[in-house]
Amino acid sequence: MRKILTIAWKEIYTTFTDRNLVLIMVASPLVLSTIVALAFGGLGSGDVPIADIPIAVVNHDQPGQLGFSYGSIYTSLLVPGDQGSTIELPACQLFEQAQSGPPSVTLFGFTEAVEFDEALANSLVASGELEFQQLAPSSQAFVDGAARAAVEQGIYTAALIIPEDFTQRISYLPMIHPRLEQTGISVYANSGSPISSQVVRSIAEGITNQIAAGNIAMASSFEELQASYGPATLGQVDFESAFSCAFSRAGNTVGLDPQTIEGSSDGGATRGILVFVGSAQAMFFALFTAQFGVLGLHNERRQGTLQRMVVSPTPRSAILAGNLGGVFLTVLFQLLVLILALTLVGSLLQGKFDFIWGDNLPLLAGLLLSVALAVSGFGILLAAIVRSPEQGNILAPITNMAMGVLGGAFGFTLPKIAGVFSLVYWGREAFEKLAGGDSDIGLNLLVLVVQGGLMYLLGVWLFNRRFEVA
Amino acid sequence: MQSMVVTHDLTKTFRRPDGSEVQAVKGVELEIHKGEIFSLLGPNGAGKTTTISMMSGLLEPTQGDALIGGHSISKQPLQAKRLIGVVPQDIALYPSLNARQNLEFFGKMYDLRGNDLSGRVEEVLSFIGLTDRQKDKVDTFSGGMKRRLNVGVGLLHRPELVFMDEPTVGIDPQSRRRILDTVKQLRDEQGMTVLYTTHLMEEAQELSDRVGIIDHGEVIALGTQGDLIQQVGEEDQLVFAVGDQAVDSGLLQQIRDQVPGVTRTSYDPPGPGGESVTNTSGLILIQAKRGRKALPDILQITNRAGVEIQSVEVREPDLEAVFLNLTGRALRD
Ligand SMILES: Nc1ncnc2c1ncn2[C@@H]1O[C@H](COP(=O)(O)OP(=O)(O)O)[C@@H](O)[C@H]1O
Ligand SMILES: [Mg+2]
Repeated sequence: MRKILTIAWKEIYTTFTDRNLVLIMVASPLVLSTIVALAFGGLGSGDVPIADIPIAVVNHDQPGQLGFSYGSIYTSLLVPGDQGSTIELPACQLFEQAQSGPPSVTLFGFTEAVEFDEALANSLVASGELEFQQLAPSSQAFVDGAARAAVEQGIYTAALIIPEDFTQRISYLPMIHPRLEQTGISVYANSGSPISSQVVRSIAEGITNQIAAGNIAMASSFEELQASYGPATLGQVDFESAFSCAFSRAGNTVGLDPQTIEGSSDGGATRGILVFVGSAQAMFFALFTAQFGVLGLHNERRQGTLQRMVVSPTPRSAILAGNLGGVFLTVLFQLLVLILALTLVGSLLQGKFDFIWGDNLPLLAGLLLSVALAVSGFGILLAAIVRSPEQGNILAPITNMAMGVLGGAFGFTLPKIAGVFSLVYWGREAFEKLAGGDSDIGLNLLVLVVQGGLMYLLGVWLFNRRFEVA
Repeated sequence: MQSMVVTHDLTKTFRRPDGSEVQAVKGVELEIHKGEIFSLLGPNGAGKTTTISMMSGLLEPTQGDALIGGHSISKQPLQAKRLIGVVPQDIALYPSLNARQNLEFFGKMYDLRGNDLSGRVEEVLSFIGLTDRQKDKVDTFSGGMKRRLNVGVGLLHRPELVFMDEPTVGIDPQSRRRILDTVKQLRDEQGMTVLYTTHLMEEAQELSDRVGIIDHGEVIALGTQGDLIQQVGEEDQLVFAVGDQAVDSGLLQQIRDQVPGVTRTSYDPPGPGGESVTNTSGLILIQAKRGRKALPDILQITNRAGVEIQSVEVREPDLEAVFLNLTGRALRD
């Protein structure tokens, strides 16, 4: 037992005295998550995770001469209906022959957008959720004002207001309206959440540009048609098909008219993003620590120190246990250091002390232990599978990237169905829950411990079978 | 005389990845006496390291066993291992730890603790002359210093038996001298038993009380140096350096047939070899009773064959001659 500790200690000591290793273990994840937090959370901003930014879409647009409204289409893109926020467009065959498959526009994640109309405004006011008074209700000004107030009061992160003459201005109609006009969709955003409003703005801009570009394409093509066949042929143009083409080109004529409303901030975003990215990054880098730790046995064999241990009166099982114990403790220590360092970063960013991981310390400790077990179990398994450190150095980044991406270590999430394959996902979700005051992480702990335990057993078994000392 | 090591039918067969087998050690029977320096002398690839690896419990024998101080290395490995200090052929140290930390770590692996450990570390450091550099990381050491520390680690727990596997390979003459002296000191001052492997005849000759000659995994001769040389008889060995001139077997045959006293001839072409033997030149090796007398006749024959002799050496019987006598090859290949 004493020797196991001696070996484990040597493992930890050599790891932490290696400046490069410490850099990879602690500095990299810390710097990365701080950058992400700064970029996405902003200094002391009030915000919510990017995936569900609540948006109010106010659509005043009236159908144009041809009977359809770009504004409605715009709204249906942002606001999820029964099919989710996806509309599939008929194939663009009119002007571009070589289209493969029907074009479609899909907006995942904007599940929180609502169509904000007079009825919704009234019900919010009536329920007391929204404080807003206006002398002349049932006017456009009333709805716009209510939407802005709702953004100010934090009900929505941003409001998009589509003006009445939106379709009119950007429609190309030979003779009647032969020239595209400048128009603007107003984006009202809470200044306390710059990144969210930035996201909203760029999405709104993207859609608007698509429509405008399509219309320019239409305009020029109609002009060509007209030149070749005369006005008579226009009646045969399939406008639905023409519209779909609007989404297949890029351009830039319609500008956005951003107006920002001052908002309050409570530091929630920095915190949320630090916990989200920070915990996932910590686990992502801990995977490397664990793998390189166990791969260290290969190195020790190469440098002959493993053989020295084997010829000493030390059972092989103790050597393996010492190494694995050392790796486990190193990972645990690394996670702990990162948890504390991220707390420090969070506190600095917000200008006040904030233990960002929630206040359930026993569960947090349990989570750290489970994560360390799972992470080092994965490391052992990988190290047992490879034949040499070189193989390990190739395989490790691949598996870890996959785990990290699936688990959200890079600031975005994939659908849960993919995430469940990543131990980073399970750990990150639990860290998020704890940070949010939710202590329901039993399933997460169970998954981590069972996964970790199984990988340990399998890894050790493989190691004993495949690893030759001499 | 008490025996420290007894091996019985020690055998190792390696299986290569392609499925073929290498019989690295074939049924070795050895007995090493307490307090002696026993050399295992043999060319590269003879099976020295494999033999030591099995005796020290690093490799499992395919067959047979070794008793260390009466304990079977395969059945009571921990008791047996406690008696052994191992100095591996390749340097085996933690490059990122300093000399002292290396000694302390491996000391603990041999159950040394506390004052006992620190006292031994001091002793060993001064014994190998690294007291001044104990706080320096091993990867800043010269090859010779690493070699000395490599030896030191093996001596830390005052083992009764030390295995040294070619501890002088690739170092400068001074460090080599130092290690050879150390080995004798261990026997003379500390009463240790040493199993020393080498492919250098001179080292075996200088150090050993008894020698085992190993070739192709088999111990082909065993005894004191006197015993072994007596096996060769009174014959001298004549070594003719011929550079890269071709020597055909007809010439050797001629020498054997025509020169009185010649018992054996062989040709050793130029090629890579150990440090003691010139390896840039091809050698004609001749064993003859009263070698000096046979010299003129031999030179006459080579002269007639058009082979120009670059140098001649007459060696009194030694371990090299024993090896040649047993295998027909010089030790160097
Ligand atoms: N792990 C191994 N796998 C296959 N062959 C080996 C292995 N180790 C040694 N050998 C072979 O066994 C023979 C003896 O090697 P070794 O004991 O290292 O010789 P020496 O130490 O006398 O130079 C050599 O032919 C070598 O190639
Ligand atoms: Mg060897």
